[in-house]
Amino acid sequence: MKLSTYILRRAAMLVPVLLGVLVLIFVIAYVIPADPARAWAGPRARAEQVEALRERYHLDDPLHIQIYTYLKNVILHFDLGVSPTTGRPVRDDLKAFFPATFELALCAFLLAIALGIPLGVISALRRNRAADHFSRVVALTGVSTPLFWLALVLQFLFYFKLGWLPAMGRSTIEITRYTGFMLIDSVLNWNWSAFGDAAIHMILPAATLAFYSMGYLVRITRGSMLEVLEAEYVVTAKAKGLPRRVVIYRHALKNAIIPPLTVLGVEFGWLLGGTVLLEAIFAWPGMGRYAAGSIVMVDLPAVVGYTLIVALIMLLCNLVVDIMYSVIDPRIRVGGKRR
Amino acid sequence: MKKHVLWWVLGLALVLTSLMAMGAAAADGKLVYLFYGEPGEADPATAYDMRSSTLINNVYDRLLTYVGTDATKFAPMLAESWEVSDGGSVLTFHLRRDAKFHDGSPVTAEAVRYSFNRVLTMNQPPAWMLSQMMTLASTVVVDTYTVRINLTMPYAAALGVLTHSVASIVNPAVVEANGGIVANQENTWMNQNEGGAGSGPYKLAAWIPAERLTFERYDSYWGTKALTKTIECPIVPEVGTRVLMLLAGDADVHDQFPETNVADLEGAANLTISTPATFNLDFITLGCRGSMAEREVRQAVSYAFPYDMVLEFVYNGLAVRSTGPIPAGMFGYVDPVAARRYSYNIIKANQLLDAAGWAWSGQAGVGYRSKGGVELGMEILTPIGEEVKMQEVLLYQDSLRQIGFNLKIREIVYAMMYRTVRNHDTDGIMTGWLPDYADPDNYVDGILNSANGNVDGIWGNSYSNPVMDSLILQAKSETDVAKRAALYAQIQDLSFEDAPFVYTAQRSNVIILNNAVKGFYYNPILPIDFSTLYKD
Repeated sequence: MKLSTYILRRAAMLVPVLLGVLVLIFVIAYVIPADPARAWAGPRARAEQVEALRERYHLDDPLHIQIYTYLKNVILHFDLGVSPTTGRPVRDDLKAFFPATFELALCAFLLAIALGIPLGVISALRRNRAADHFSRVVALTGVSTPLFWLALVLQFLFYFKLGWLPAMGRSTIEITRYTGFMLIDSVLNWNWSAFGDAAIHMILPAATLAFYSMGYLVRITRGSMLEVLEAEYVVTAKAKGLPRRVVIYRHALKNAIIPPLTVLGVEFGWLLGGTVLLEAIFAWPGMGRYAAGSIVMVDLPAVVGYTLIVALIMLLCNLVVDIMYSVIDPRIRVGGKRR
Repeated sequence: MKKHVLWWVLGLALVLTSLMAMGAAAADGKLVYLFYGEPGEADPATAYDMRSSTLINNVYDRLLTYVGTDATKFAPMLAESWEVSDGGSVLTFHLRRDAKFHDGSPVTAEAVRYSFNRVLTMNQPPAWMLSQMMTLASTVVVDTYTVRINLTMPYAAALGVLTHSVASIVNPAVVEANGGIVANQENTWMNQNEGGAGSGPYKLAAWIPAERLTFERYDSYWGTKALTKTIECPIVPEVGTRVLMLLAGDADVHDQFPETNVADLEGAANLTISTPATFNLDFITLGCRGSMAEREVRQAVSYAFPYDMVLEFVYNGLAVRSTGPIPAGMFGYVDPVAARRYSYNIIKANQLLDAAGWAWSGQAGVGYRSKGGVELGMEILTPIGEEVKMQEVLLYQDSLRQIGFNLKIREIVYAMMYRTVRNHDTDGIMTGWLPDYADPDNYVDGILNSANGNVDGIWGNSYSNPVMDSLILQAKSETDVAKRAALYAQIQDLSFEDAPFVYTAQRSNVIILNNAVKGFYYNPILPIDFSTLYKD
C-alpha cells in the first residue's frame, strides 16, 4: 500500500476512535454518583443556583442528548464547553495548558533520546566493561526511581542548596505568547533574556521527566544493539574492512533502532500523560494539573476535552511511529507485509 | 573518547552559564505573595473562594470596609458616610467624589446600582448574600453621588454584607463592552480580566492561568497609594516547593500556610510566623437521625469528644476551643460558663446514655450499646486527602468506644461528600464554616436555621427546633444592639442544649512573612491588603 493511502486511511480511523472515547467518557461521567453542579457551585450555593447550573450544563438531559449537544458544538463551532471550575472556555484552557505540557514532554523526550540511545549504544559496544556497568546502573536507577522523589531531591539540591536553577514555573519574564511554547515565543519576541529564562526553568522538570525514559531507552537500545551486532550482515561488514563508524551507525544502529522506535512512540504518550505530580512540584502550568483538578471537581467539560486531546495525540503518535518504520526500514511497508 | 566527553561537559557548562546570564531578570519594587491554588474567578459577581476574594478586594472597592484589624468597626471606602434608617431597612450612602475606575471614569451612584443589580441578575453562587435582603428594585440612585438601598426586610447585618467581595463596585462601561449582563450566567471575560473595571489600589495586570497573577499599583487611587509597585503571585500547589521558596527568600508572604508544615519553617532566620485567630469554625454534623435523633445521645457524644487532645496533637496548638456556632471575637459571642459548655467527660457521657436507656450489649464498657434492637452509632464522612480531619475523627472514634458508640468512618471524594450527606445516605460529615461577613447571623442562619431549609439543605442535618428558628429570625432584624446580643446568647445556649453539632475548633491562620516585609496587618474577616505591604 502506498504511504499516502495508508496515512489517509489511518486519519479516517481517528474519527470513530475519538467518537468511541467520547461516548465512553460520557457514560462514565453519567454513572458516577457525584453531583457536579453542587461541587462547582460550592457547599453554600442555594438550591436554585445549583439547579441553574444543572440546566446550563445539561446535566439532567438524557445521555444521548448530552452527547449529541456536545458533538454538535464541537463539530460546528469547535466549542468544547465552559469549565465551571475555571470559568473559562475549555478550548481556551487547553490552548493555555497544552503547550506547557507538550513543550516539557518534548524537551524531556529529546533529552531522553540524546542521552538514552548513545548510552545504550556505548553500553552494547563496551559490553561488560566499565562504561557498560555505568550505563546499566544509570538505566536501572532511571526506571526504578519514583519521579516525584527525584523531583524533590533535584529541586532541593539545584535550587535550594546550590541556587543554580529556579524552583518552579515556566518563566519570570513576560513576553507576548504567540504559540504558548515559551522557547519558540521568546525567539519570536526576539527576547534572548526570555529564551534563557525559559530554558533555565525547563531544565529541572525536563531532566526529571527524562530520567525514567532515558533509563528505559538505554536498556532497550543496548539489548537491540547486542542482538544486531551478532548478525551475519554486521560480521560481513566488519570482514569487508568497513570503518568501525560505518559498521556501527549505517549497518548496526539503523537496524537496532526499530525496537527503541516502537518504544519511543509509547514513551512520548506516557510523557504527555505522566506529568501530574511533576507539574504540581514544579508549579508547571500544564495539562496534568488541569486534568487532576478537573477530575477532583467532577468538571465534566474539562475532563471530556482533556481526554479527547490526549486520545488524539496518542493516535497521532502511533501513526507517526508507523510512518517512521517505513522510512527507516524500506523493507517494512505500511499496511503490508515485511519483504 | 575521554577527550570527547571532556569537550561535551565543558560545552554544556558554557551553555548553562550563558542561559543563566541571559535569563537573569532584575527585581525592582516587587513583592512576592504565594498562592497555594488558583483563584476561581476575578468577577465579584461569581467568585466565592478566599483566593478570589484576595484578588477582588485589592482590585475593586466596596462602599465600606473594616477599620484595620478590627472586624467590628466599619470604615468608609467609596462611601464617605452613610445612614441606616427606617428601623434598619433603608441604607443611604454618600459617595466620595474623587474615586475613579482604572480607566479614569468616575465611580458614581449609577455604578453602585449597576453592580448590585448585576449580581442579582447573574445569580451566581455568592448572589444569595444580596438577594437575601435586596431585589432589583432595591437600589435607587438619588443623585450622582448618593445611592439608597431599600432592603426587603430590616437586616442588622446588611452593612457587613456590603463589605464582602460580592458587593464590589464594577465599571458598567467595561462590563457592557465585554459581554454585559446575562441572567443566570457567568461573564467569562470578567472571570479572567479586570481591564479597568475596578477602582481599587491595584490593577490586575496579568493572570496567566495556573502560573501567576501580577498586580500593578494604580497611581491615581483616591486613597493612600499602595507602597509596592508590583505584587507578583505565583501559583504553587506543592507545599514543599513553597517551603523552599520561603526559606530561600524568593517568596515574601504566605497566607493560610498549612498547620502540618509549620515545623518546616520554625527557626528560619529570615521568616516570621504569626498565628492570628480567625473566625473559621470546624465542627462535626450529627445528622439528628436514627440514634442521633435523641438529644441525650447528641449531648453524650459531645461530652466524648477529646477537645484538648485534638487541639494539641491534630491542630498542633494552632486552634482554640470552639464552644458554639458563633466564633469568639465576633459580636454576639458569649463565653459560656463551665456548666454550659461541653468538655471531655466520659463519665457524664455514659450517665446520659444510661439514663436514656441505651444499654451495653454485654459487660459495661465492652462492645456497643443498643436500644430496641438499634445499635448506638452513626457513619461519618471525611474527605480524601484531608489529613487533619482524618486524625481528628480517628481520635474521636477511639473515644466514642468508651461510651459504647460505634462511629463508622468512610472516606469520600470531596465532590461527592455534600451530595451524599444531603441525600441522607450518611449521617454526618467533618466540616466547618468560614465567614462571609462578620455577623453572627451569617453563622447561625447558615448552620442552625431549619425554617429556611439551611440546616438540612447545606449539612444534611435533620435538626429542627421552631424555637431556634424563631430566635434566629428575631435576631436577624433586631437593631437594638443589647437586645440583639441577648438573642444570640439565647441561640448559643439552645445550641448547647440541642447539640446538633460537635463544635471542635476555631482555627488560627498561619501567616509566614519574610522579615523584610513591613506594613502587614490582619483582619479576620478580610483578605490580605496588598496596599500597605512594602519591603525594607
